[in-house]
Amino acid sequence: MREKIENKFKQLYEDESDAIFRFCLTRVSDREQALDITQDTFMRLWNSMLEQKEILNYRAFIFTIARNLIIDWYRKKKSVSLDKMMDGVPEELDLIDNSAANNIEMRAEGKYVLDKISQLGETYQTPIYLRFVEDLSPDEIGKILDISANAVSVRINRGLEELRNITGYNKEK
Amino acid sequence: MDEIKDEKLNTGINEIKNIKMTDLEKSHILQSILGQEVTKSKPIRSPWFNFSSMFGNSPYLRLAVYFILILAGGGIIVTTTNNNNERALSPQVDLYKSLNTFNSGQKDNDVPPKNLPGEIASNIRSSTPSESSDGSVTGATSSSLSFGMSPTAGIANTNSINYIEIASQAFTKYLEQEKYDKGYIIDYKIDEIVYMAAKKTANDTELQWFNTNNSNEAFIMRINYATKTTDTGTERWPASKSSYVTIDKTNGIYTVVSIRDNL
Repeated sequence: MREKIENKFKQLYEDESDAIFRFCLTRVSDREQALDITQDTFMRLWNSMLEQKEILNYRAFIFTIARNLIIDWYRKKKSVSLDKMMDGVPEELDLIDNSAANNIEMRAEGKYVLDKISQLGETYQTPIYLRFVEDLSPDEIGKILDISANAVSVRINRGLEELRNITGYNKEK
Repeated sequence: MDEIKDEKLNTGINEIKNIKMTDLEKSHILQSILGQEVTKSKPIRSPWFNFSSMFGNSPYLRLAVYFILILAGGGIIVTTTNNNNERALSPQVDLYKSLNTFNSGQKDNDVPPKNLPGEIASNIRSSTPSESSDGSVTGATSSSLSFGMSPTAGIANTNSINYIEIASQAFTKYLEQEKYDKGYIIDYKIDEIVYMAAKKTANDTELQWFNTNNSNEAFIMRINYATKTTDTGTERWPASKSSYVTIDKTNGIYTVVSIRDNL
C-alpha cells in the first residue's frame, strides 16, 4: 500500500515540483526560501497521502498548500501595514514580488513579462499567472482561490486585456 | 477564449516556465521527504492511567484498592472531626486579600492573620457541645467565652467552635478591609468572640439559639476588639469596643454583613 502511495507521490513530485518552486520563487524572491517552501509543500502532501486523505484535485491541492505557506511566510516576515489595518483592507500576501523579475535569472523577455504580471491588479495577477504560466484550468484556479470557475474566467479575460495594455503588445499588431 | 496569441507574450511566459530547480535540489528534497519517518500525533496519556494501571487487570484487586481508598477517606473525616485543631473540613472562609496599607509601609499579607488568643481558643475548644436527637444538650460546659448569652443550660447547643472560628476569620477579613479602606487604622486586635444566636437569614430579626430546620448559615456574635489608629498612636491599645456582628454565608463565603452596638 505504501509503495503504491510512494509511487503516486513521486509522479506528482516529478510533474509539479518545478511549478511549485517557480510559484514560490516568483513570490518570495529568494531561492533558498523557495526551496524550503517547496519542500514543506510536498512534505504536507506526502503526509496527507499517507493518512489517505481524500484529495480530489492534486494540482489544486498542492498549489493551495504552497499559497498558504507563502502567506504564512509573509505574515511572519512582513509587518502588516498599519494603514491597511486601519482601513480594514486585507493585505494581499501571495502576489508576485516586485523585485522577482530582477532577482531571478532568466532572459530579458521573461523578466519583462514577469515584471508586467506583477504590475497587474491584485485580482488579476494570480489567475493570469496560474492560467498562462502553470497551465491550470479555471476550475483548478477557482479551487485554489476559493472562487467560482466563472469568476476566474472573467478575471483571466480582463487581466489579459490589462496585461496587453501594460506590455504594449496590443499596439504592435 | 483565454489563449495568448501574442508571440512576444508567449515568449516571455515560456521564459518564466523555464525557472526550475536543479536536479540536485530536486532529488535532495525528494529524498529528505521520503527519508523522514512520519509519526502520527498520539493522544497524551493521562497520569491517572499510570496510577490505575498499578492495580493490574484484576477486578478484585481494583475493588480492594477502591475499598481501601474509601476507608482512608472516612478516616480523614473522623480524624478532622475529632481534632479541633485541624480545620481541613471546616466551612470555607475567604482568604485574606493582598492589600497595601497606606501607613504601615508593609504589605498586609505580611501581617499574620489575627486568630483568637490561644487560651481563649483552648477554653472554647474544651467545651464541645453536642445535640442529642431529643434536642437536649450534652457535653456543654459553662463558658462565658463561648456561651456568653446562655444563662440557662441548653442554650449552648450549637457548634460554637465552628462559629467562633468562622467569626474570627470573617471579622479579621473585615478589619483588614477597613484598614485598607480607611487608611488611618494602624493595627487591630480581637479580644473576645461570643456566640449570640443563629438567624434564619442575615436580615432576620428573630434570634434563635439553634435553628433545627435550617442551615444556620447566618449568625450573630458579640466581638470585643480594639483598633490602633493614627490618632491613638502605636504605643498603647485603646479600650476595647464591644459590637454585635452578624455574619452570613454568601456563595460559600462567610462575610460580615452588619455591625451594631446592640442586639
